[in-house]
Amino acid sequence: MATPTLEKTTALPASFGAEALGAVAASDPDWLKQLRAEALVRAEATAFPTLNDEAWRRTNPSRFRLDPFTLPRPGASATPQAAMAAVAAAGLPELREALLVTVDGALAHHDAQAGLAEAGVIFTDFATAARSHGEALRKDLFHGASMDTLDRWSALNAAFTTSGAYIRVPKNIVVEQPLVVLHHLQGTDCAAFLHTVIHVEAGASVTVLEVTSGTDQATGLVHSAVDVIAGAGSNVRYLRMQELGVKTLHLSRERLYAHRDSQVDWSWGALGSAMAKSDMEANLLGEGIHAMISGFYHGEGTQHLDHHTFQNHEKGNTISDLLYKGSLTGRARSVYMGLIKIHKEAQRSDAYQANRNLLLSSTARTDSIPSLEIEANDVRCTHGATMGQIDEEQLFYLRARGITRAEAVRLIVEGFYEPVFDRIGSETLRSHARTRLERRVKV
Amino acid sequence: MSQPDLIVKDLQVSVDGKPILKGLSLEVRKGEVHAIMGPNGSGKSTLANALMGHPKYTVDSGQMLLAGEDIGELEADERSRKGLFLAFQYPTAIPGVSVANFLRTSLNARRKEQGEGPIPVKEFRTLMRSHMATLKMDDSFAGRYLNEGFSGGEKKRAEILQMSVLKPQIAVLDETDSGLDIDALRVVSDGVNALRGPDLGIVLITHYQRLLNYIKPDFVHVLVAGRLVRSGGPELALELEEKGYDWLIEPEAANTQA
Amino acid sequence: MAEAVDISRETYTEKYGFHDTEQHVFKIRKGLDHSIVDEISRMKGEPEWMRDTRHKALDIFLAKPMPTWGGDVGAINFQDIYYYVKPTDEEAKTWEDVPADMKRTFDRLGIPEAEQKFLSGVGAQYDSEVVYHKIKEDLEKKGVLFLSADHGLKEHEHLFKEYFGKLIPSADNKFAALNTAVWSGGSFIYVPKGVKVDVPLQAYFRINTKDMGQFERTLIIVDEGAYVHYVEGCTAPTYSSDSLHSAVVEIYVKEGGRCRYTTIQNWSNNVYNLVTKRAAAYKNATMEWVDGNLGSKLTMKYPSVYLMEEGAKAEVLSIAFAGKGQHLDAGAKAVHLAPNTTSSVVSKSISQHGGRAGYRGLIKVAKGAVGCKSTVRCDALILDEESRSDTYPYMEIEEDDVSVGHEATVSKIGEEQLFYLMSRGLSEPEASAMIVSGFIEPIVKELPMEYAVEMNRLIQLQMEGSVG
Repeated sequence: MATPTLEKTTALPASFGAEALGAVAASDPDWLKQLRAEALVRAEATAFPTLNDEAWRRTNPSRFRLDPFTLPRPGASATPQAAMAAVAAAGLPELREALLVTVDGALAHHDAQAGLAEAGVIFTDFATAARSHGEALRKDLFHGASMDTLDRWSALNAAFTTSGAYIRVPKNIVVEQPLVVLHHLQGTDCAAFLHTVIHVEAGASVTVLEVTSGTDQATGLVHSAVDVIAGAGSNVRYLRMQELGVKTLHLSRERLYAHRDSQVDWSWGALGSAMAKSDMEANLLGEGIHAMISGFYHGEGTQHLDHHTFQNHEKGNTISDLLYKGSLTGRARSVYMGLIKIHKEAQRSDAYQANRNLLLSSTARTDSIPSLEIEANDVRCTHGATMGQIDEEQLFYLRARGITRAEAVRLIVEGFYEPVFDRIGSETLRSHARTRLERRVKV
Repeated sequence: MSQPDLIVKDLQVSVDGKPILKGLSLEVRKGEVHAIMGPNGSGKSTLANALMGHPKYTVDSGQMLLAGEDIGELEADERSRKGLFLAFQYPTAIPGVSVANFLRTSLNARRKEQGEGPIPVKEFRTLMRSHMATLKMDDSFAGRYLNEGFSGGEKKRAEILQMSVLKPQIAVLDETDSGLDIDALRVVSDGVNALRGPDLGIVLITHYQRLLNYIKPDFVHVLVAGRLVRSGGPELALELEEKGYDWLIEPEAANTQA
Repeated sequence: MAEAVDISRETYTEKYGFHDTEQHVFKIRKGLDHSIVDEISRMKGEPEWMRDTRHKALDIFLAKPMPTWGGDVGAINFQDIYYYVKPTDEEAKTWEDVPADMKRTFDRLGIPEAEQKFLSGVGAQYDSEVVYHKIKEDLEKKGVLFLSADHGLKEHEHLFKEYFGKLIPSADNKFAALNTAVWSGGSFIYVPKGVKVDVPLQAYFRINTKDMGQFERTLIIVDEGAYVHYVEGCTAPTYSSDSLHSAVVEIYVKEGGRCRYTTIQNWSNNVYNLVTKRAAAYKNATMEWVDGNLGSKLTMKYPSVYLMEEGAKAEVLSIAFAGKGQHLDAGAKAVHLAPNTTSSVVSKSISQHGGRAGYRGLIKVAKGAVGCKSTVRCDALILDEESRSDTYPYMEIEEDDVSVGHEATVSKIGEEQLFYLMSRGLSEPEASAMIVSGFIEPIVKELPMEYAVEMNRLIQLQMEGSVG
């Protein structure tokens, strides 16, 4: 995909300068201070995207501004009480075996069974990881990419990472219990930068649930960076939920780096925020990879949800299977832009991409652009997109059985999402995803 | 004699502005089975859909009374909760919604109407399984998505399953025999016969006499060009089988062309 | 002449890639500026408003950046092109009056024969001007106008001006601006109310001069309840340097009318084919584009239909077959502006020997356009490891009471299919050609029989050229 054009460099607001950087990095080890400084240089040398960038033509980039906001002042709000309230609100009370909670960018709760550490599993917050596992984290951040390759938002994230998580599962270790990470935002006028790094080494297996949530009173912007590295033959089940408050803006940069013979079951639920843009890349870097990518979203009111996906088949004998389904009511709007790219070297690849939209009000709006760039011939590749409303015949059938209109609509909408949930391999993740969506969809 | 439980009075119905039913009257009491027979295009499915309140079918005049109450202005779900049931000729698939989930939701809608709470999950499961067993349906059927990928026979069986769970006062069966092989037809008919009794009135809509070998009607009506042109006992069906519809159509066709 | 080199489609050179020795009554100097535009306008003796329109369009063209999407247009040197080459003094009404060399060219291309056999009228353009134009007398009597665009402007200025540039204004895109600045030739068609032209009208476009730019302009008005089928074909000599073809086609289909526009584009592999085609369909009107793209170095062409009033229908059938050195970026657009309008797009693309074929499309349903239905079906065949296929479907939906769907597949020729045919004695190229023919059959069967035969023959040639 086209990288944002760097036509003009706009200065960063003063609250995101060297001074702010110094405060954020105060307790960091030197390598991270250094990295943050490099990232800030990169951020200053690049520009924000504009409406002229293809990826930003349907989601106004000027809505995502830094100047009204400051970095969160962590500490005060990060109490155990706040953490538990957030856990309850996010529907996670049952999943506390391995749970890490940050509130407004500061670690507020951390539960992890001793067994994890004994097996050599790293499951900790970003700041702790930087101090205790600096060398490993540095290599895994952005998959080791140089700061010079980042776009402005990603560079800002690298410079100002307020919190995050680092999960690393050593070779051939199977982690049974789901690892749960919750980032909760409740401050006002904050720009928070979160970075989650998950590295599952060769032959290892893990299930991760990551939730980014916020209160409806919270205002500001959240930028999330996610790097998931699936080592050779590893097995990764990852569900990511966005349940930010209605006044919060969200930008998200998700990268999967899948290596030979890995099995990745990646799912994504976008339910909250005022305006959100997610940019997900699945990089299939070795042969024999099977990547399942599932997305579900629901927009209401004036919510604007933008999803960009990129299935990048660099090697052959790989499978990527993507299904994104969303419903919209009120004046909500969704944008889906997807690209499957099959490189010349990636013969015998299968790639599927589908985007289905259910429009529940005449003022909702949806754009869908599922694209293909295929450079190898021995491939199986299909894509599709549909948009439509609830079928009147279905509605009549259910009502003929005594079900009220509202109830019938709810049933049909839930049925619409069912194929997405069916794909989620982990029962824990599947039922969490389904419950959160059903709670959110009030038709 | 008691008041009929379903009264259709001089019903005129059009589809996309085209009149289909041109004054149809019918009275059905619980415990009775009425067969409505007619050639293609005579208005059989229009009658079924208009009774259930499909939005595409416009009632231009006439009345429909269920247990004495005019249901003409009611939505389909209200009619259903008042005890009307339509077994569809072509049941619609509802992707992602399992048969069990759907059945429980519709049963609870009815219970709510009657002031009862939702049926406990276990009780429901037992109830559903017993009805499914009667209809020779495998347990796995409950987990399948409603009508999605069902064979013709499975669709019809699922309709009868719903009917047996929901226990309507009046059931309209629209071409329930179409697309069924002889074994499926027997299972479906057995299901209907098992439900037959003093608490249920049945309107059987069919093109062929075949179904009536399995479900014996008390009354037979012949629908031609939007009107009931003959009514009688079961012997009328046999007469139709012998002579076809032509002898009834000729004068009617002449009428409508005039 | 020495310039004629083969690019890839070996048989093309022999069948179509030949060229006459240059013959023209006037050839403007190379390059593009306001004085060139003045000169073209003066040669044509056209009204002042048209000259002004051209100058304004040139300013727009110069101001607009080159498109950065689609194909690579960076190599076009706009100053190294002849923008106007006038082949003859007068448009002929009989083939006898066409200069012998040019007539021989059209004979070799089979145009006069086709006119005799199955056409209602023919226009033949050679470089910048139409050299032959004829319509059957009975149609003329019914009031059907089928003229070169230049004659349309001269003889029916009022009607021409009413519609010219209204659907595709100069500012629409850089190449529409270029066409408006230097347009010459093309067709002007008016079909009166209720008149059905049962037999197709055909225009044939031929580039002969090296380093030539052809910029024909076509305007078609189908009045209420009328019908016309317009067919265009195009070929050019195979030169080592590139030519530019940049047409603009505007079509109006009034209430209850129907227009079918069939293109068999078979330019040589040194032609940049950058064309803007758009139709407006009014109440219950039907617009059909049948778009076959076999030739050119780069094609960027997305025939579009604006569904202006209730009940309007759009149908686009598109074939692109890209071989060595070719990039065919074809597609379709349907813009639903009124309720209960429908559109259907079927696209089949094939790429081989490093060719790149693609579909780029837009389905837009505007606010208020309730009850719209749109289906898009794109299938792509990639015949070898060198080739590439792209699909870029854009869907923008502002209503809920719609049904919009896009489905696409990309695959190679099935080995089982190939094996089955070869087990019946077909060679691999024959078997492949048969499978390819079957692949595009749903579209080819929509062509008039003669063109279907031609299309299948072109596909065969394309396939044979590839393995020979």
